[in-house]
Amino acid sequence: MSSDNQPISADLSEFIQSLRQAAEEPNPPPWLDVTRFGPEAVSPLAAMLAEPEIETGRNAKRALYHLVRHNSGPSVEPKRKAIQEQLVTLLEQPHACRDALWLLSEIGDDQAVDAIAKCLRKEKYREDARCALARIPGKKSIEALRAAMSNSPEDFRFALADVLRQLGEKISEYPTRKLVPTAQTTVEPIKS
Amino acid sequence: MSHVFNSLRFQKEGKVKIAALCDVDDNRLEAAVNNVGAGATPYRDYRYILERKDIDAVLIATPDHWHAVQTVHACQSGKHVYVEKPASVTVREGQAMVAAARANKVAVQVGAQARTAKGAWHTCRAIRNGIVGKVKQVSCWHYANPVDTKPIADSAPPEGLDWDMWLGPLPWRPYNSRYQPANFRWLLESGGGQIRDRGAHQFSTILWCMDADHQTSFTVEATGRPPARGLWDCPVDMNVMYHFKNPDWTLEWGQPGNKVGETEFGNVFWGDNGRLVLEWEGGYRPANPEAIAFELPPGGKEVERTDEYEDFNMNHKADWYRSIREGHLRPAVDIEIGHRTATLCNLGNISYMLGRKLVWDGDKQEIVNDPEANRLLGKPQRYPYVL
Repeated sequence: MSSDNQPISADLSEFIQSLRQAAEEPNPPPWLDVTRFGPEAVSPLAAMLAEPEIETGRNAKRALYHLVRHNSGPSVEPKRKAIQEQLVTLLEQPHACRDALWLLSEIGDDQAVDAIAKCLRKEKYREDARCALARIPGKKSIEALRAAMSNSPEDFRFALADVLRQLGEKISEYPTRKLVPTAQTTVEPIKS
Repeated sequence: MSHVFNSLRFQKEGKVKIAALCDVDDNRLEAAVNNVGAGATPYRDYRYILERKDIDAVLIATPDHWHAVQTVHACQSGKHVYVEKPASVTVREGQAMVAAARANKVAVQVGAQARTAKGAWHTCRAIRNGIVGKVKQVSCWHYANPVDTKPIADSAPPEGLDWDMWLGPLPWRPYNSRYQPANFRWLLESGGGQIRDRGAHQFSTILWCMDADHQTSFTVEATGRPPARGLWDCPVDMNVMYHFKNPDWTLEWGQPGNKVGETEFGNVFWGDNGRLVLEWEGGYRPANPEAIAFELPPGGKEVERTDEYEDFNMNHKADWYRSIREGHLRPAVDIEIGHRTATLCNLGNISYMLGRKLVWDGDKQEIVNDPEANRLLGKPQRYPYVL
């Protein structure tokens, strides 16, 4: 079953099961086989990210990244769009949201912006959402970042202002804090 | 710690004064303070150092994902910079470093110290003056990336470590003891594996020997075997082919590659009239005896280098200080050269991740006809640790 409880094919089910088995060097990891599948693999893989066994979650994550990256080239546009649609649905799942944001930062377009922009209001994910929008080209993501300036907590507005300036926008408020030191050490100097 | 010991020697010679030390791990910072002694103020946050008007230069030996941000900030604060290799973990970071160095008129030396080392120098002058004839291919051999055979769960960071500052520009993730302190090297997002670590040395030396710093356009195609398990995700084995044009030659990164010499890693220059091996990158190992014995032919061109210290780590720093003293601000591995070298390493990893060949336009600084690959040329940093 996928994370949205849709039935999956026997072939995909077998692949998913293989990610739960330990692989040993020099055998290649099982997640490499994900390229046999397309957008239908996104949801079941996302469901595995929350599994308690560390290596299972890692296999699933690597499979997701591999699936996305091998469907990102110029010749696979229909697959990219279909995968994007699936990744957008993961933004509502706490265990998958952060990875979905970074994956969308790599292949997302305007269609993903509105859903990513909603994550700007979630404290746990807002920084990743900010980065994702910074990476997605086009006016829509810039507009989403600008819109967030007026309804974000004060401290996050500095980060939004900074990324908007990096994207070429003129923002006079909220000057950069990148050079403002904050962290103190407990180590004392040696006195002469 | 070698940078600390180098700096102590320069201080003893009256050439520098160590005014400050910085580490986000209080345990390591305390060890450095004990080594340096009185006179150096300890800090956790490097930005306190950048605020100080009495500091002229900084030496950056933090994990790779911090190199660009700290270099840019230091340049913007008017400090000269010595930054460890690789210069950057993304191409866009490297571009920002070059821009910051130029805009603020400071000397930025990247720690690919073979370029000022005697071993590489002997090899460079021999290759450039035809010891093996025209070189059409250079191959590297290097041992594999390690595998995380003992993966463990995330945990709280150890006492004394500021995990937020250690992560810095990287996306947030919980602490894992298999990541830090030195194992960051085996994750693509931070260390980038052997190709970005040693490749930064070997490629820098190769470009120097081939007199190819200006050959910024090339194709790159990588294959690799990912690890079967564990936190680390750099490919265990890897092969990357770079093709340059005008003049035409090929660079091959082999991991493990075809080991020709005796040591764990090295290069081979394959020419019309034979081959010349350079073991390691010409730093810790001397050059091949043929290269050492090589005499310039009539009309041959000498290769210049700073030659102030036998110890190549000291010599590379001396080269940097010399560029500051003499005012030209272009040390042997100026940030532009460091950036071009790191670009080779970074594009090798991108080609591996995407599973496809890339065509790199060095003039436009972009991958031809591949918008998704171009997105991987940069990665937004976590605020406030931004360029």
